[in-house]
Amino acid sequence: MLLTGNLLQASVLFSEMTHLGTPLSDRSSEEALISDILGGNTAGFESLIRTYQGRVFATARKYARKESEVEDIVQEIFIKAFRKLDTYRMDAPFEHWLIKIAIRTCYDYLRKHQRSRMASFTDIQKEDFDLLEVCGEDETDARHQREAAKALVHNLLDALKPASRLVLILQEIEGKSVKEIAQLTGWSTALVKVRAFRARKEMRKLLEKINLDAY
Amino acid sequence: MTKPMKNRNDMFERLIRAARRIPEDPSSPYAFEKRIMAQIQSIRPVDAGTFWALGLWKATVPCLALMLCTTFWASLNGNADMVTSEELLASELQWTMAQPLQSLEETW
Repeated sequence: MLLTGNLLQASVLFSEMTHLGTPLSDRSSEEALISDILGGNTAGFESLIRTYQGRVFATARKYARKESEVEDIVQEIFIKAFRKLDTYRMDAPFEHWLIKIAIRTCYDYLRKHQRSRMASFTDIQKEDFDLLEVCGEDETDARHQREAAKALVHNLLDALKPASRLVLILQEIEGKSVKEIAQLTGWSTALVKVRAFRARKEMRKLLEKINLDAY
Repeated sequence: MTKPMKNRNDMFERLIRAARRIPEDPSSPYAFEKRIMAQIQSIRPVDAGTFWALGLWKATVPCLALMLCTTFWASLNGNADMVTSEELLASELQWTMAQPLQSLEETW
């Protein structure tokens, strides 16, 4: 009886939100929506996708370059999230839980496509290397220069091992702590430290190689 | 004249700085959520009946194999113990016939 009442309340809340087009910013309404989805109203998941797809797309674009690959990754992330929704315990924001799935899916993608990405390192030209020297010096870089720098950063990251790339992006670029990375990836803190050390070493070695090849 | 070689630590810092300056791109294709929802709708939940039917169907071959093995083993053992079973049958018959007499003695 109580369960039926809760479900009814959740479905009313959900229908109100979808009709008014309210963004799902309120956590309690989000939890009610999730309960509703778990109760069988799968259509409610569309609101969650609309709310978080931007964040998930931004995350996926750090690990894949081609837009078709990014779309495949995002699709896989949301389908995984839907399948595992009953494991979401609602003790942390839904976004954290979703990003955890996103990071792990991106890591799986990197591992699956490791061989095809290794070849891109040979594509780095001397001109690109010169760009690396100037990018980051001037805050008012032209748009095309930023795009070129983005492509170069992707090229260099592509040459790293999946674990190194993941830990470098999370720690150095996103500024996450070792503990946060451990929670996101499911690795131990000791393993994160080891992998971060190896990643920095791998990248420095790579940069040195480019430096030596260029001059 | 060759350019001086850059320190690799310096290069690493420049790379990280450049990577941090790349703005995040949260754009998504038009009606992307519809595409995912179509995928999700096609995922059919497995009901209890289907789950059991699948399990039982998978168990058919091992069960048949086990049944054949047991039958074969039983027929082999049955032939070997033919004489013994006849003796056993005779003794059981004797015991059954003598049982009323034994109980008669006990009554007296």
